[in-house]
Amino acid sequence: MLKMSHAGNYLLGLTMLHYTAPKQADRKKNPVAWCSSIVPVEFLRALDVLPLFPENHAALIGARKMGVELAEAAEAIGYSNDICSYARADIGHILTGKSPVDGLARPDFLVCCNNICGTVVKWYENLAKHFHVPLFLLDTPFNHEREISEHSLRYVEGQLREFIPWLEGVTGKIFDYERFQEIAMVSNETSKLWREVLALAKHKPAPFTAFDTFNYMAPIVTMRGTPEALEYYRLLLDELLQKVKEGAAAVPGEKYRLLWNGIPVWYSMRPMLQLLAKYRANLVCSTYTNGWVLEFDTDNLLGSMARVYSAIMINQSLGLKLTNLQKMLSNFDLDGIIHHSNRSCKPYCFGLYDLSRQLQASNHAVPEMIFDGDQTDPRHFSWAQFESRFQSFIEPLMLTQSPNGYRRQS
Amino acid sequence: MESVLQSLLEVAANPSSEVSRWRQRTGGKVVGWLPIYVPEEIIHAAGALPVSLWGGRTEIVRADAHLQGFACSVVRAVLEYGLKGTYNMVDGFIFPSTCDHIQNTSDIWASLFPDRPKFDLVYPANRQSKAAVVYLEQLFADLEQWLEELTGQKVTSEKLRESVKIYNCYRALLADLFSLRSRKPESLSGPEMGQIVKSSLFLEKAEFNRHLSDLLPWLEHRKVKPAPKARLVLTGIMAEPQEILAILDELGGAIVADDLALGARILRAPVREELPLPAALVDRHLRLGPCSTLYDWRKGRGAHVQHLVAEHAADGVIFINMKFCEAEEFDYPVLKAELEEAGIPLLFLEVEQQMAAMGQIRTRLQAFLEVLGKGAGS
Repeated sequence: MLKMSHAGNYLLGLTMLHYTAPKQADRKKNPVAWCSSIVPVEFLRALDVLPLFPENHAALIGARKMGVELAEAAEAIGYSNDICSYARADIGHILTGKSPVDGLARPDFLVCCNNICGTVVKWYENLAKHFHVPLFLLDTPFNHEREISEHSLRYVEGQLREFIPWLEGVTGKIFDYERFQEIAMVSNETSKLWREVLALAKHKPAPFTAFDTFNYMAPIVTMRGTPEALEYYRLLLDELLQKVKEGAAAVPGEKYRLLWNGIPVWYSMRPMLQLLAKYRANLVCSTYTNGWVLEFDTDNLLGSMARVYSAIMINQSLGLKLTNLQKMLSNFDLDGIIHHSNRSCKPYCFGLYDLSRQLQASNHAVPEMIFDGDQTDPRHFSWAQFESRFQSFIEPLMLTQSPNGYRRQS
Repeated sequence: MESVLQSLLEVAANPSSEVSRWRQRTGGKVVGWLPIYVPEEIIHAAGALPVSLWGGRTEIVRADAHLQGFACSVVRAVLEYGLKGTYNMVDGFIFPSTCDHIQNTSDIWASLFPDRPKFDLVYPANRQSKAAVVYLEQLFADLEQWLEELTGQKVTSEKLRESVKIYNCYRALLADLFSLRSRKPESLSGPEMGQIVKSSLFLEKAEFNRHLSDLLPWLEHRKVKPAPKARLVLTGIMAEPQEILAILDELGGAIVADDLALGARILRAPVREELPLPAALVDRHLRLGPCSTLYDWRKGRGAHVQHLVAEHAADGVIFINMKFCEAEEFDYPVLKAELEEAGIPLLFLEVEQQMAAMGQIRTRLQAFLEVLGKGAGS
């Protein structure tokens, strides 16, 4: 991984700010909202609402290996072990007060968008009940076709229009559309930089690993629409461009370029990175981090937000998921795919087996491995299985490689 | 009358032969629908037979290659039945957007059976939104068009009105049956009660209505078991495997009211016949609930279950959890806390459609009934 850089220090500061500011906020000026991971925060920022993201917090809980303890606290009051471990870990934090960042400041209201799963709808119902605070649901109907239907987009846009007076009601503030547009521009610019950062992995060797991007992504998730997040990605892009110029390799002697399909296994990133590096394999990109490349048409902000927030990959058909994988395989010149069959994330992994079969039958076939895991709860992950599946996956790749350098150019 | 009852039980025990018979007899199309909410009236008005595809007890052999083991047993069974040909007499499939499991199984289904007609009934989850009404009207219009193409029959407003009448009558008759269950729990065994409801999901409704209206007066005077020692409310997705109901009978527990998806939840909210059609069907969908799969930030299920307990003088509640049903599993801790506070005894039973061993279930039911102070052994 990268040693602590200027951008790295900036990121640490941002993370601190993100979690501490809501605790010190004057709630009249800066109400606090808990949000599912891909909601239109631009509306919230326009009203100086401070959003917090239980999923991002749960990922930290996972990374700090607190997942089991907190999940068990939720299980003790009746939450099934089958439920998403982000939800269990975060509910466990509410019950015990334990957290890697001293907890999340109490919400004044909640905003949930089901573009990532139906789980968040249930999770936020329970949060609303627990905290006795209002909840707004933005419903983005699942798209089973190639194109999102017009009437679905009109429905989502209609809800975005209703979101404004709802927010005015819960915050007691007046929504300023011009301010909203400015924030959307900042958000756009930040997304564009994030897209450019991710695209740098097209370079050979790649200047970073997807594991690094799992850290880089925090501000685009939690602080999209703020000048601070924009500044972070400017710094990061500059640093990474410098690395590209120097020909620096995140994995020395990079030979195999792989794609990660799924949510990270937050508590096992380092051993995975080390195992891959041993084989000079680099995870150069992931379908996960692309979820926050959200760019709007500023001339038709609400209409394009309806589309962009609906078009999250796991809210769409298997056919579109396949096309997306195929595009990434050629754009990043990849040698293989690691799929995370994640017990917590049903929409990400129901259909994975058929997705893989369809890819194998297409002219983009590359070696693939599927392992069973969980994003936050190590009780559903076996390192031994991961390691042995990885070896059976990488060995055939080693047999087809050219003596020095990459397997092939596509 | 006994033979009428037997014929319904036979349909529930072997739905596919009944459905095949209907198809041969009428030459009509069969439309299968997955849980939980489907406007059957439109299917009926298109001249098709709506049949419920809610899984069942089958060994999972083929489906495991397509769905992980932590998918719920309902979608795994549906996929298994599809792959082994059990649904060969089904001409069209409707997948509602009930949950992540069904929604994603729909896409797997499409890749396995690209040529079998399928309609994705992607409901508006935000039913409070004004925009949801227009969206839902369009959705039902699209469904109607899909059905017309499938059946070659026009859904006229007269046919739709007639179907609505038949379905409202069906709901009213089942309400009468549910009332009987509470007033005279000894008139039907637990499994019989479950099978009558199940049979209604495979029979043409006008025909079912005739059977049930014949049956109801006779059932008033029927007695197949002693008066119950414990009156119970059952909440969850469905009362399967049905052995559970037989075990309850043996132990002296009677279900006097339910909040099951395959039960009271789909039978609530008659269509308002005074409203124009199809707006009345949209109106009905917007009034459905409470249900774990219908967004409800007020979490109204707890109050509803408590209301059922009071209305039916129940002694306790059984939460029958279809394993891996996240919607239900998120409701459980909230309901548990509410019932504890209200002092209502609650038993959590976890089931899967494929489960065979009932020993543990029996032990837990027995212990629960003993706690209620009215157990079979006391």
